[in-house]
Amino acid sequence: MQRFLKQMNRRQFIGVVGAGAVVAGCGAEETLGPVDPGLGIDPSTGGGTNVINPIDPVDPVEPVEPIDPITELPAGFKATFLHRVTYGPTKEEQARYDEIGYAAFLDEQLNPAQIADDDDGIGQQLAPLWTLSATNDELMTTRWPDSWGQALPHQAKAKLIRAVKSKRQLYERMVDFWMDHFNVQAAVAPYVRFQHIRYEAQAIRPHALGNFRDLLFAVAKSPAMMEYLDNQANIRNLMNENYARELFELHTVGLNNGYTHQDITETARAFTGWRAEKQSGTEVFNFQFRADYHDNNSKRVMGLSLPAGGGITDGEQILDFLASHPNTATFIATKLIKRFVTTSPAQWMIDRVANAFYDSDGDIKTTMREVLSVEILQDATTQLRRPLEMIANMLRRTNATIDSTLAIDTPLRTMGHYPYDWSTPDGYPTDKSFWVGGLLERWNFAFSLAKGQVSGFSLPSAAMLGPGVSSTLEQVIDHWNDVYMTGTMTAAERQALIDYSRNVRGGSAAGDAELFAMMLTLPSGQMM
Amino acid sequence: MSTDGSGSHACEDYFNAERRAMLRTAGRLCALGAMSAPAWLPKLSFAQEDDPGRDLVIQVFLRGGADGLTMCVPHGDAEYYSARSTLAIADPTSVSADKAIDLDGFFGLPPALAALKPIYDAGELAIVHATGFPFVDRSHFDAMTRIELGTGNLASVTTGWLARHLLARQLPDAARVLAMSPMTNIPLSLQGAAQTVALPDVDAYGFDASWDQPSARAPFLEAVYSEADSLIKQSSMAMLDTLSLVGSFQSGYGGPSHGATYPSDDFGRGMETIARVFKAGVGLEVACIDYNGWDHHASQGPISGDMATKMTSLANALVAFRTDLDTDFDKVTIVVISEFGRRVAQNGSAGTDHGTGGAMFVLGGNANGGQVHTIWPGLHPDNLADNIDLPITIDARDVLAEVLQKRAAATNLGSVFPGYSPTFHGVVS
Repeated sequence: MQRFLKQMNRRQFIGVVGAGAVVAGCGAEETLGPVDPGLGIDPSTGGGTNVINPIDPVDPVEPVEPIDPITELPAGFKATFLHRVTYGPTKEEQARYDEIGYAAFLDEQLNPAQIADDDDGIGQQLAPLWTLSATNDELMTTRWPDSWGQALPHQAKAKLIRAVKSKRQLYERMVDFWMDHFNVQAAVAPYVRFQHIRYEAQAIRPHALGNFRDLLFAVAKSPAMMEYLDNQANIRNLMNENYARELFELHTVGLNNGYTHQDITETARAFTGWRAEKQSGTEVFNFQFRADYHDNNSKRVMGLSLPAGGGITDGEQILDFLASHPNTATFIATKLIKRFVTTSPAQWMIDRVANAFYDSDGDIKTTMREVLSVEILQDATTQLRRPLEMIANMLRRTNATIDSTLAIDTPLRTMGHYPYDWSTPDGYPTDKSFWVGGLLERWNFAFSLAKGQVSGFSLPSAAMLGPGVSSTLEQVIDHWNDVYMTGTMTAAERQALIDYSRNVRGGSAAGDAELFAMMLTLPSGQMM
Repeated sequence: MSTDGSGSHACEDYFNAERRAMLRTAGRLCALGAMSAPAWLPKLSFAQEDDPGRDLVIQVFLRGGADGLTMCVPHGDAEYYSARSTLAIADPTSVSADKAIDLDGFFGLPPALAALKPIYDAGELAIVHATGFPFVDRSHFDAMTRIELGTGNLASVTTGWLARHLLARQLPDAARVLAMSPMTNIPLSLQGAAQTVALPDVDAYGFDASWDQPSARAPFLEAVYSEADSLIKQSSMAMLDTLSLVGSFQSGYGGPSHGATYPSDDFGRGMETIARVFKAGVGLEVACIDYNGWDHHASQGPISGDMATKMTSLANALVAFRTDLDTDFDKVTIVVISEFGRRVAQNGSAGTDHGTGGAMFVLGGNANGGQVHTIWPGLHPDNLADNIDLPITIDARDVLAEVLQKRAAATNLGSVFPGYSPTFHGVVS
């Protein structure tokens, strides 16, 4: 059994270990001493000796000359586009593209609410994953301890089921992007695995193709994030700067991009009192602003002046300021391009997308329309699919059926991509250099899938056949290339398959599971 | 401030050095004798015969910013106790059951690292304090990237510092596991290195057993992956080489040697895996392993909480490794580093925030151990970086460069740490 060496575990609460103790205790909170209302923090030092220096006004993003729209799509564009917008296009999606064309297909995917998603029973497949729709009472009491054991596997399975079965493919890709961008490790502390269910459902999913400001606010006020980045413990005179730091560094403007250490400590002060608290008489944790924990003295952050007595508006004004900041536009634009287009973005691409973000006041649809524009996508470079994306891709293109028993925990753990298990706030990496060491596990998974040995997955009986009853070897392989690889198989790969079939397998490709597995392992299928 | 170097101490070092040199040759011959290459493995080369004197260098990266002031307690510095009202480890003369273990009259080990004391006393553990990488700031991700790439100038390199060390050797192409991590990914420090694999589980490493013609798979994969993107190609070729090699030593492993017992957590298993691959004699020269979870912003627990648990596991795994390798320990140098240390003063959550300088542990048969190498600034705020952090008084690159030069016969330190000229401080011989 392969073991997965967990990534960094940022949170260091000991927590409680026994089930009884968890139910009895009110979460893993540190007992805090009484807050002395008399002491304030001298705003002129903010805890350090730096003189307060307002940051010079930042130049707004340079406007970019409009480029003549391209009227003819470049060769290979369809495959590139479909593989970025979806987890790997199904036959139906390829046909839809052929039918309505690029612009209309993109429009459809940018409007997920208009796409009906229960035709092939995705609701049916998610239904057994009961923790995802359980009440707090069920999670914490009536269906405990099952809920404890099932919360993480249910979330992981749901993620894969949606990636494979949802017709709202771009939407699910965006949810995945934001869950990495605003990463919370679901297993980090006792209650976070439950809070995380609501985190995805209420903070991320409603805004994944909505507005960035709304997303930022929803994340900042989510119990899961308050717990994960220690803002629970950030109270007046006993500051914890963890959330404030990551707000700048990871969520908005990016590392050292217009802020100083002073700004971080001032921001930490602004967010004192932002907590998740249990509502009395219930098992529900909700966001709560505790005025008695809040540092109400005046603050200064990146030139933003927050007079004394601001209360919850201190933090809100900072969030608003950062959401509107041009450096945020650039940072988000760069990350989106790296995930969807190329890990080495040209400056003109970043400028275009940043402008779209900035001019639309953080409208994610408008921004993604730019990211997936012909002008930008035609300069896409190949990327290595990350393990979950690879598995989803294999299942989609083979039209495998999956049920909720699907045994994806082990493969995803051994490949290091178990959903919501990245321990640091930066989320799972995009760059292939991180993932390239795990090819053996991918090859093994492809073999297991083709041989029907992964529980909960089954390939249709016709999957491995050729186009006709008496197809030649070459016709079968070309058919597989067309259906399963959107024509991206290289000549060398094609020949290798033909040779393998002739020399090792007896020359009859149709129905040959081993040859089919070989096709699934091809490098062109690992890349997109 | 280091230990007083008494004359008798020096004589003992000399005697031990001679004895270790004898054992090194004997140990190497034993390793070769135990290993018989199957006939179908034509490319295996016993590189050690050609390149004597190269240690296995192991980078243990404590991810999160490990608190150096806990790992090596400055009990002789009164400011330490002022700054850490509840997190300080009691000085060795106190009556507390959790007092520090004195090392040299000023520094001590926390109780959770007690298992390392015999290794320290044997001269095989050297501690470097108030050290770090000056080109990082208090951001994990940025700091780790710069450290692993070996430079603050990120635009200038795409390879890891250890990868560049290996590349400079220009080794002939041969089937070997040159470098590894016992994890599912290869850390940035090794990015760009050839013959490098992620090998989390030796016993499970291989193709699924249920195939009709497993022997045909490797040639097929080699054929198609040699056409792939260069990074993918390099990785898959290394993986295929490793499959052959691992197959040759997978069976017959009777567990750790000399009664060593590794902790059963990921770090312990990882160290055992490194030891196993090293003992198999397949040419391992570098290993990188991460130990995660040192970012103790809250409830640090240096005495009986989370940090104590991790330090105990760290110490026990290092001790087990040392026991497991026995006389071969003088063919190994382990550097335990972190991206930065932590704030001198504790915060409001019984934890510490990100800092600057920290502690580095160097272990090995040729470490100049039994001492703390440092230029201690004192913990008064006037002497601290930004008045809040332990500063860096010894550049960590000095230590890493010295290890590569003296223990790994490095041929191009200028490429390993571009733009930097290291000064050696006698941390290893």
